[in-house]
Amino acid sequence: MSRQQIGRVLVVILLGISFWQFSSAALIQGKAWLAQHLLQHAWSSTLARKQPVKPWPWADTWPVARIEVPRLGEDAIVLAGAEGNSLAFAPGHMSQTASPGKQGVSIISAHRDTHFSFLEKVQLNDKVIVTDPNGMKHVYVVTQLQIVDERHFHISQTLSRQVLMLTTCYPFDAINPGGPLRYVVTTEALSRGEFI
Amino acid sequence: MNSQLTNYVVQHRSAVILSRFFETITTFATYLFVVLSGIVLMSCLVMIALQPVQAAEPRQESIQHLSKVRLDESRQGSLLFAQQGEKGVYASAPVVKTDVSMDIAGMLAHVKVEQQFTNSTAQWQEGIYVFPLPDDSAVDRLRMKIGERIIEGKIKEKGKARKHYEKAKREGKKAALVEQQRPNMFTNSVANIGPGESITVTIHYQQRLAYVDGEFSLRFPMIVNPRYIPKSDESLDLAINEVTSQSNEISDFSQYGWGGVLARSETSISMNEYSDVPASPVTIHIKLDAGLPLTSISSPYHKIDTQEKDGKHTIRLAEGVTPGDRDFVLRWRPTLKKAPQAALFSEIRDEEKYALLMFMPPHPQNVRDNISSRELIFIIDTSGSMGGASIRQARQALQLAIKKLTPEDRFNIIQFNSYTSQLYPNAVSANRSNINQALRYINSLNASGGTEMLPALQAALPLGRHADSSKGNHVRQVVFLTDGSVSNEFQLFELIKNRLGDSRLFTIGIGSAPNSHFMNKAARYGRGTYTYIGDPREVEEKIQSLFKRIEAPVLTDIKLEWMSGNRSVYVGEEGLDNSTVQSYPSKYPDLYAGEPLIVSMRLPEKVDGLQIKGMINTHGWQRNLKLTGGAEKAGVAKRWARERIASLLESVHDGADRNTVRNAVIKTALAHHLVSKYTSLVAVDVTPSRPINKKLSTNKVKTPLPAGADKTKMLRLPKTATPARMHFMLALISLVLAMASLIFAFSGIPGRRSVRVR
Repeated sequence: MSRQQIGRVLVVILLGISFWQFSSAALIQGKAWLAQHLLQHAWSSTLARKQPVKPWPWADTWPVARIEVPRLGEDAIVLAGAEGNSLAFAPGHMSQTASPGKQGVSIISAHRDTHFSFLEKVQLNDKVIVTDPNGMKHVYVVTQLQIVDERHFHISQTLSRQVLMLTTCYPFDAINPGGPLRYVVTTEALSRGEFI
Repeated sequence: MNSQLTNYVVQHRSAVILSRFFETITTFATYLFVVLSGIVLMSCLVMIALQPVQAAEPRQESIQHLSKVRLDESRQGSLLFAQQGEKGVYASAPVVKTDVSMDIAGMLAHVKVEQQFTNSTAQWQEGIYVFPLPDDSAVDRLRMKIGERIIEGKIKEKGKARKHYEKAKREGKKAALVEQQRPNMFTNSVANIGPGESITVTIHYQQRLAYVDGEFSLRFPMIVNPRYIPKSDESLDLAINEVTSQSNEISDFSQYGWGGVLARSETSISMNEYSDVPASPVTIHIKLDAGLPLTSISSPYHKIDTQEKDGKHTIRLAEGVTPGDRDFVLRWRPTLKKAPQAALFSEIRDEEKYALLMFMPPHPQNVRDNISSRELIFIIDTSGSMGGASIRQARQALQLAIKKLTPEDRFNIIQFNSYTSQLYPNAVSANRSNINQALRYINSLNASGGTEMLPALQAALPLGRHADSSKGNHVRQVVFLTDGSVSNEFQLFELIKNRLGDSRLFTIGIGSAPNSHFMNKAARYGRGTYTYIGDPREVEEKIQSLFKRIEAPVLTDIKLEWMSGNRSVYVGEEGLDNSTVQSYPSKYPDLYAGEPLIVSMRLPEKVDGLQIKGMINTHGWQRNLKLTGGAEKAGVAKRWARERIASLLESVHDGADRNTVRNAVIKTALAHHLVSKYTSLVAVDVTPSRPINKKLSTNKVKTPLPAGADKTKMLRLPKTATPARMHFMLALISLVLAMASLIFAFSGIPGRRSVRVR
């Protein structure tokens, strides 16, 4: 086979790979983006009915909170559970931690490439507003920005204060997923809930 | 030659066919390339639209950033970046040494906690120390000792106290501020500790002793974790048949020692205050004047040295100092014949008469005979937070409880984590085979998943169940084993309140750090009791005593009526004058065997008697007590005030107006010099000691983790990096390579010609 024949074959293969990779990336981003829109409806029904509403019939998760960072114009519906199934669509609340808006340490995680890419831009004293399923708004203030190694990460499971941690993978722009580092934004409740 | 030609032609033809084939492919590839580029471009646009920042970011920079983090990795424990502007401050926090001395007499303990802040650094420091006190502690005194000078703390409204403190802090004056974060958690802030200097802050509080099943006990919490401190499970105290007086001291009382609401202060406490460092050495020195002959004095979690002199005991820690990583508990038991059945203490303060009454209802011998049928529903929490020692302890407790059932009993087991499941669809008879099946079931229980408590409670307290009077004296008891790490407490309380019916709820707190607030309150709404099992060795004993107690409540539907001579006196509420009785708690729980009724009251002059009414089994019961005489003790008024505050704060949950409650709490707390949700103690030195030009740094004194607490059990944060970026990079690389291949292919045109010619 001649050089240019090899070249042509290569072009085809490489373009194929490129297409495949792009669509994989686009699928992840698209799913995350689209899901938030679909979740809006489930969230409004959650608020109206004051009980968990599944966003689609076969879902194994449901919206548990809405989280906003007004300064950055960020807004997302949080799903129950921080496993792969929910994280693909929305930030997930770690079920073994306190519920958002409640006393104790509550942890919400999301992908660094999608919903929590903005964490990088969060600064100390930024306000984070959490709406719980009862429609109560809780204002949190960012008190700490940390990078932790998840292999050595402890939280107090019995804290009396109202703390919300937003976590995502670190570094934000690492190519390869799966490192041990996490970026943790610690916020503390400024106000007790108010009804909206 | 011919064959050569043929060969050539064949070769040529095949070459032509091949080249045509590749030409077609190239055309196709070009089309594909155009289409793909379109898609790629669109994808890029989507990426950019979705993530403007990341897409726009130069990649080189990010790689540098990455390597920088890798360098830092080596020095990370769990914390890499401290808060901006606070670099390096964590290393040099002031050290706190705590000396505790207790004076125990009668029903009350006066506790003095001395915290010595030492600043070993070269900077002026502010120390903030978070420390726990018993749920029902009435903190009433703060003293700051600088050298030989002593400054007495004043009680002020929380905001004012904080301002006062901040002002002193700015002006370089030494100041101390004691604030209540929760009813059982306080902070002590000390400003302007000079380099190398020590400041001693003394806090006084009083606490009521627990008295259940003939044993007194007192708990001194050492873990900052407010949920670690179980309100002594024996939430009620003393008892008697006739009112007697004791030549003893004060009383401290409150089973509702928490406001139920997180009291926030301006103090911001970061997660860093929890550390594995054995901080805060504690010494304990106790003077115990029981006023009764004792058969035993013991401390379950610490070794103690006891010395007796003239019936008074002096108790110290055998090792002198404890690292302050587990609660200190002291128990003592009067000889059987001398076990008190009632006590009355009184105090006149500001011309008002206050009294503290303890009364032990008679224990009918035949309680069990009156019960026609008993149904026991066990709920066991198998959520992730119960993992490790807790679930083992819970399994052990549950198995013990199951073994104590008799064939006449009916039972069922409900377990819950993220989901609720039950052993039997309905309660079954506790015959041998069912019990064996239940034991096997319990053995198979493992802890994992979330804590969805609501469905479990719903299953245990089904709607539409009504007391079935045809069955005679039917008893339905729900025994709930959990660490109570829930956050929808309010919702759960509502459920218990609404659905309880004729069922009774008993909570058993398991593990090193159960949420005693939740369990105490749940038990109260469930008209049962709360038992805390803090140590695997206690399981047997605690389950035994719980089962003895829960066979049936001894006294129910308790009502009190105050008497003036033979006339009953109106019971007053807020706003009424001093001629009415104000007594707390405002509602009386059912009393179980071994539990006394305890009432704090403010009495008008004319009131001299009390009538206790209630139900024993199905019969009405009543007893008249004289409220005259009794030992006069300082502290009874404070206890009443503390009770009143707790009761007021609780009334918010029943719909009382927040502002009215707040004002009433402040009024009571200020009048009785008590730290509360809305009041703090502040002590400020008159003369400034820190030169204004020297900077003050603020430090949080590290508080150790509870012993045996999840030190090794950490929380795995989920993986939150999608391969999107990797896909994107690969796509880009392939695209670039594809282009390179294309160029490579086209640059090969002369070569192709030469091949063709040949």
